[in-house]
Amino acid sequence: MLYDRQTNPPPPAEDSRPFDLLRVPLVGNLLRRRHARTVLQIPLFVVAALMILHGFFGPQLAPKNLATTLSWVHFRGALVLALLLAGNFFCMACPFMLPRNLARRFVTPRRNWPRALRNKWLALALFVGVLFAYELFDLWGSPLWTAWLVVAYFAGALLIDGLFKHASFCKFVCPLGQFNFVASTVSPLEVKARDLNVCEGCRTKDCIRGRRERPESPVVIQRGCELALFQPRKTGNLDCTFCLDCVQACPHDNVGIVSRLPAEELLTDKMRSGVGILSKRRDLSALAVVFTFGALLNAFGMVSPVYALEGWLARALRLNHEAPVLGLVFALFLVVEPLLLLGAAAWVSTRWGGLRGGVLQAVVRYSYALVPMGFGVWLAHYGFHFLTGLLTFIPVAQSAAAGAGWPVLGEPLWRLTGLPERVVYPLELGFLGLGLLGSLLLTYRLAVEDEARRRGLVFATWAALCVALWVSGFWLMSQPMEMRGTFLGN
Amino acid sequence: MTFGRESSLARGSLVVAAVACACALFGVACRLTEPTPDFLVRLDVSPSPPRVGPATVSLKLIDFLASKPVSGARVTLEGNMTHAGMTPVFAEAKEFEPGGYRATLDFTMAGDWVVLVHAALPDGRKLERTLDVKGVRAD
Amino acid sequence: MKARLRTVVLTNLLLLACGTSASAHEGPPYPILVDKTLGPCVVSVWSDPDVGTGTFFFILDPPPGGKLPEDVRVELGVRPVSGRLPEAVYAAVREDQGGRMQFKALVPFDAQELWRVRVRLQSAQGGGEAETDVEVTPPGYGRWDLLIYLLPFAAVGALWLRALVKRRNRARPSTT
Repeated sequence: MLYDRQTNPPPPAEDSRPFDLLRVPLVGNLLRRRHARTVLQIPLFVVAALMILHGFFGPQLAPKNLATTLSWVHFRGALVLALLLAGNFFCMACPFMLPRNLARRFVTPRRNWPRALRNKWLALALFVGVLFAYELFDLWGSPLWTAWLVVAYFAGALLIDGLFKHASFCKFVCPLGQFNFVASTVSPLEVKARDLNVCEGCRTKDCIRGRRERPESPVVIQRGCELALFQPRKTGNLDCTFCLDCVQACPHDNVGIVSRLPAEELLTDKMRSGVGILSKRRDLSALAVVFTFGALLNAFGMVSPVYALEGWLARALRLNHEAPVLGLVFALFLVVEPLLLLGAAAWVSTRWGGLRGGVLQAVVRYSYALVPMGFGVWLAHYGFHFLTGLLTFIPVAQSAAAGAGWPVLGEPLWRLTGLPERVVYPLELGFLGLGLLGSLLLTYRLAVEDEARRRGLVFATWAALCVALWVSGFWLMSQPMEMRGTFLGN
Repeated sequence: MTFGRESSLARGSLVVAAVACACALFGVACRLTEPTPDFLVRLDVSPSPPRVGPATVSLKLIDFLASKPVSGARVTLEGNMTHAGMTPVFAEAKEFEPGGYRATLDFTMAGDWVVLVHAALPDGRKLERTLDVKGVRAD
Repeated sequence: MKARLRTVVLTNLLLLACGTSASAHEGPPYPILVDKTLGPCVVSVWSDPDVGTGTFFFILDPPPGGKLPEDVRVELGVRPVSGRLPEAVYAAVREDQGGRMQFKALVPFDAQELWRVRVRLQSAQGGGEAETDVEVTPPGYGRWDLLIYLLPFAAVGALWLRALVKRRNRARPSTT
């Protein structure tokens, strides 16, 4: 079998061989070990358990609780920085998978995930649901609700993967996973076959089927990819949890974690194993759009004008409850605004720019180019919390230990915080700028590769949209941040 | 067939166990209630509405049962934002009238604040109260 | 390529390191004098010392068991520690808050440097003086600060741009 050299180019010459994390001494040795993932999951599982306990039984003041501090300051920030600098390593170390894997030792799911749900629509709805709940219940300020959210993730993974085969939860349900999948398209590392010539000669396909005792045996001793990503035809990081099952399963030691050009995969529109063709995946396109506009909406929830807007909506519509007002804001920013902006850009591109295909096709194709911009906004926002509150986990942990009657960590050092805002603000601008550059690069390349009649106009149209998003992001990051609770309660 | 039935049984048990865990946690969480107040703590912040910067925080400490102000307490204030990751601010309050204490608290950021009042009463008892200071303005 | 990457990373780290030491004060006012007894008053001074206009708040409390005189006047003298300018004295305006006696003074500062601040309090029951130093800093960033901060990002962006354009141009013949 000849594998597609377009999406998976042949291995480069020896002198320009990409960096491979699995070949790095110590780190590579650790990651190649059979139980490497479990070793990484256990500490995060312990931390998650502590967060749940402290969320339920600790002080219900967000800055003094491990659940809120670690979730909304450290976890989110470390997640986006790891995605920026490396890859989807948080999915690799996902603690929700630990009890699920344990349960699968006793329970073998028999059902396949329903065909109608084999797409991202459900996960997209849950992603929006989490963003909505975050604003509605002020999750950042509620240790109890944060702990419930963590419990819900554990229960969801256990339940879904207890009932359905493969990694149904990760691929079709987990909202956090979808965030990671989309963001990791901009990551510099990718799990990839090192040499396609080796794959061509492979007869067992263990990377997808799993390694068996004997080729004809039904007993799998090392599972293959549970997300249906067949290494020789896998392109990019979409749907890849970095679980390294393929690394373990490959009998030829031919899978690595290799370097690549960030975001380039978003230009590739060939058939991908387990994913399909990007320009035909409206669900994935919608996910990319929500990822991008959701980044702005999530940051918008932290600045003063949102309260003015919500207050105005509540007065105009005579509403006394936050949920419908918030619902309107979400509909406005996640549905109406993207429809108008992307629809207009696609219409101009097809009508006057000579871009082939219909408006919807153009929307789907170019929506992926917005991902770097969206990621830039997430980075700026979460990076702000992470860097300005970098050391706050120390006094919170000291306080938690003391509260549990075990004051071995000493008196809480509440003065420990993080970098001053003055230092972090330029970093936010830098992330935004890189995001804009990435989106501009992608739209330019798409316009060139689509061979539109007036590619300059097509590029200018989508570039204008990217710049508008950047301006929104810049304006948001320049606002004094206000940590507010329910606006109607004020 | 037997394997399938066992598997269903195990799956059922798993679901029941998960639901039981959730109920137990919910039950425990619901029992976390505030203690009955013996003291009334009234907080005033000036300027009103509060602004970023130094604010005068005055509080009145009243023995609810005896209906009299509590003098001679050592009162410390701790201001926290509702979001984690922000620097807390501290101040020691001074008694300026019987049962009336005052301190300057530095609201370093706009938004909702929570002021924790820690009071060591003259009779040795300790009192803690959490009071909201909502909508600190940036201007 | 590796050498260039190393240069970019090192420059990045260097600039970040410089950045952290560049900030003296930012954000809201902070206390520069706390509970200093001047005559019949216990004075705390909070300052937001920006180049342009610096703001000073004077919060007055009575000493234990005492009472604040009603005729208190507060003055503020400022001069550069370097001695390049003589002291300029400004009167603070009274603006009581929440039953507490408070004064505010707006002071022009022409340059970023260390300034000596002298607080002078007068009343019929007596008065007093106290001195402290504050670093006056620009409100926001200096002219080149943001540009310098953003240079590493620009370098990474330039590398990204170059690599993507080069790779796609190389891949292009086989796509058509």
